[in-house]
Amino acid sequence: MIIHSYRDCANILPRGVPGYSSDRFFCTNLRESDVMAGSTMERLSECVRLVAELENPAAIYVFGSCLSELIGDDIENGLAEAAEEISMPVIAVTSSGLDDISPKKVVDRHADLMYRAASAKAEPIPFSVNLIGFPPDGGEIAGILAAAGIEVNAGLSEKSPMPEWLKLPRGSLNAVLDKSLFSIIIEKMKNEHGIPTLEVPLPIGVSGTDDFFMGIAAHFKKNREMKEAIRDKRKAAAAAVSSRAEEWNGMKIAYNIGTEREYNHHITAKSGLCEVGFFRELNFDVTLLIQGSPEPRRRFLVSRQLREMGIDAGFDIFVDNVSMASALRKAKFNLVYCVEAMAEIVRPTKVPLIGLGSMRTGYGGCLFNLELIAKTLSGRRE
Amino acid sequence: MTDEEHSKVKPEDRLKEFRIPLMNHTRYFGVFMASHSIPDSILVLHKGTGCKMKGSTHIADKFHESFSQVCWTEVTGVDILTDSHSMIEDTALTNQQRRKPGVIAVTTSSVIEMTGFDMREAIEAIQPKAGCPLVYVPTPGYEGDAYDGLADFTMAMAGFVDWSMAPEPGVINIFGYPFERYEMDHGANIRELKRIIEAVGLRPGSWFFSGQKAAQLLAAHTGSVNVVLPYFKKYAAELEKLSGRPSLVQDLPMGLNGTTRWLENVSRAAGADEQITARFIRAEKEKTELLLDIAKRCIGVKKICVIQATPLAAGCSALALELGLELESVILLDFSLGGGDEFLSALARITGRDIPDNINIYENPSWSEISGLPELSGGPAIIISPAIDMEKSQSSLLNIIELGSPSSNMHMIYPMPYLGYGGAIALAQRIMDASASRY
Repeated sequence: MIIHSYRDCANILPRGVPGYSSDRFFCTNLRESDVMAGSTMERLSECVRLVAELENPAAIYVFGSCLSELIGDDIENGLAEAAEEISMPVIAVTSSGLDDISPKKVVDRHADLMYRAASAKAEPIPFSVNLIGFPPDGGEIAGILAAAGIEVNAGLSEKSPMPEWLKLPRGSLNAVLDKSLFSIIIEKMKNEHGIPTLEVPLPIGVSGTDDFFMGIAAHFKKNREMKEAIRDKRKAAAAAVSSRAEEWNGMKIAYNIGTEREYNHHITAKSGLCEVGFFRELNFDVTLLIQGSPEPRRRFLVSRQLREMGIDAGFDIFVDNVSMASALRKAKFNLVYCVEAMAEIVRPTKVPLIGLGSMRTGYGGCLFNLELIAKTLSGRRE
Repeated sequence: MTDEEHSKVKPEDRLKEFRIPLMNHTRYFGVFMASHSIPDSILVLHKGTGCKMKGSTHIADKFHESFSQVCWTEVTGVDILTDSHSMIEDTALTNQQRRKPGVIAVTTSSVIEMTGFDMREAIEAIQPKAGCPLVYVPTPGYEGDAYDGLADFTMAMAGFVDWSMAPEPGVINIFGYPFERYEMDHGANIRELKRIIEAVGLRPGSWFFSGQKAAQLLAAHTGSVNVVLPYFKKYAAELEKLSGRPSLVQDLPMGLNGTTRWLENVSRAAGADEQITARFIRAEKEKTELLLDIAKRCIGVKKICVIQATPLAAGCSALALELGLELESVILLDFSLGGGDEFLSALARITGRDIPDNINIYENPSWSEISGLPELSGGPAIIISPAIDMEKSQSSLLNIIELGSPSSNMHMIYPMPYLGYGGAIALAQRIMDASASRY
């Protein structure tokens, strides 16, 4: 990966963390003199050629920046010659940091970049599904689908490595949480390989998990097999949920969205509201705490969106991180579901916090989630 | 370099120019770090949305969330072409009213400055309405490093101190401490320095930076001496002129000899009682020497590799030599603090002895340039390093003492200094632990 900018731009990369290897990242490290001399594209071409020659990667991604955009470097066309010369895919991306882009669009573009390396012709596998945008679950989903005669061809989350993306063209169905989150690849896969796409809910809680499995089964006309496949696991989860729903009936939960940009697919999908249904299933009284501009127009838009999504929940809007504490104090919440980074701000309110994204999927995940909520409510877990 | 000369450079060496060095931060991160270290500050970024995470992503602080102190204008390409002065004013003043900060740090990106936007003029226009100092620091993204930013910010803030007020005898200020996080490594360093300063009859004043609030920092006029640590050395003369107080440039107080030398110099400059100082130093040296002697006998691994910014590298190396360890490789993580020459000079000053001439020094390389060093490839060695881009599989084979910025894996809930006499003992303990864990 090459970042075409001055040195500081490479600091958008989180460094020293597992999975990051600085050997794979380069920066054209543009200097003021390069900009003044108009030699920035020459520097980029040299970097591309050297990376190709010495590192010999499968593909080279080149990312533009505010600077390259400001000075008018056309990296998408300007690298065509270098790409031809080195006989290697060079995928250039206009990616200025000056244009605000929603996390949803980031996810969409990321999926497209990964898919671009996978668009070769492939024979589809019958009764196979690409699960796009679902968090890894330790194998329960694949196991149940297999028991119903459906194979998981590719299971893709934001953390999936390239080989998993390369499998995409062999699936006979794409199952996604939110079509708008993967609009580019859905369109491409339909046009290039004739793969249809089905939107299914996040398999969280009993009814969410039921709808997820039965939705996929219906596409393959395997409803009977699926009912059989989910029976045992479902039974234990349904009993536990039913018992807790009685216990927690009417408890108030603040469900926070918009505080941090999230790129986890299942948290970004459906405006971050995929898990509301699970708390409703547990009879929690859900209030959405939305960070953003509290102006009337925004309230109107939020109301409309919730109506369109069929979500019946009250909401409050707070303006910035530090205002979240007062928003929490307005109602006597029993629980808040928000990003862990807000722990310091939430702590003085004494409302127990569960970190956004800590819920697990599937029937097995249901039991984990109930335990987590119970522990948090009883103060056994911060 | 001419085109012909350039073509003769080996491709491997040409590619080095495009690799990402182990410490890649520019001035912006230094400003971010300084702002984070003042609990009642806010940082206004006149930057595009892409820059927002460049600071908080790299702060490894488990005790004090950093992102809430930052606000930004989220300037777009269209705004740049029109007029973005008002965006800064709106953001700064709205947040001033809402959060009542003690100081507002303001910075922008090179791209915006390259458009000819006069940021300084914009800040000067807002200052009368701001209700607290607006500290503006230019942060070009193509030159300098985080320590430049830290020093620039410190100097800009010193400009808001009313130095015309009378100093109090025996009060000393410290300039140039990179307080990266509110954890008990930095907390313990500050506590240890306070302890030794107070023991000789002096009083700590404003410490840039130490987690002190803006008002405490702006009361720096009470200090009669400004002790300047190496991270702020480039401004020592300017500070002396501005403040009318002596700038006492000192290496980091590390190791037995380094701490003694530091305390002697500070005491002398601030007019502390010589006898009290000598008595305290004698007692501390005796106690510390006894413990370091035990450490010497216990440390089984004799080779050490230090990966740190130049001043801290010199301090860690000094202690390593005092413990009888063999220093083979030193990797310096900065662009601005003097490099190899300064490292060797500082090491000679801190230890007060001749330095072995066989130390390999690398100045802020990329990981690929040093990953093959025997010390970093599983050879028996102690490594004192912050979290760097080491392959996980490789790092699991090594005896790493995570220290310095950032310490992403090592977090401190118990006082664990590395400055002062206490710091020498605590760091020796960590070296013993690292050695014992493997052998």
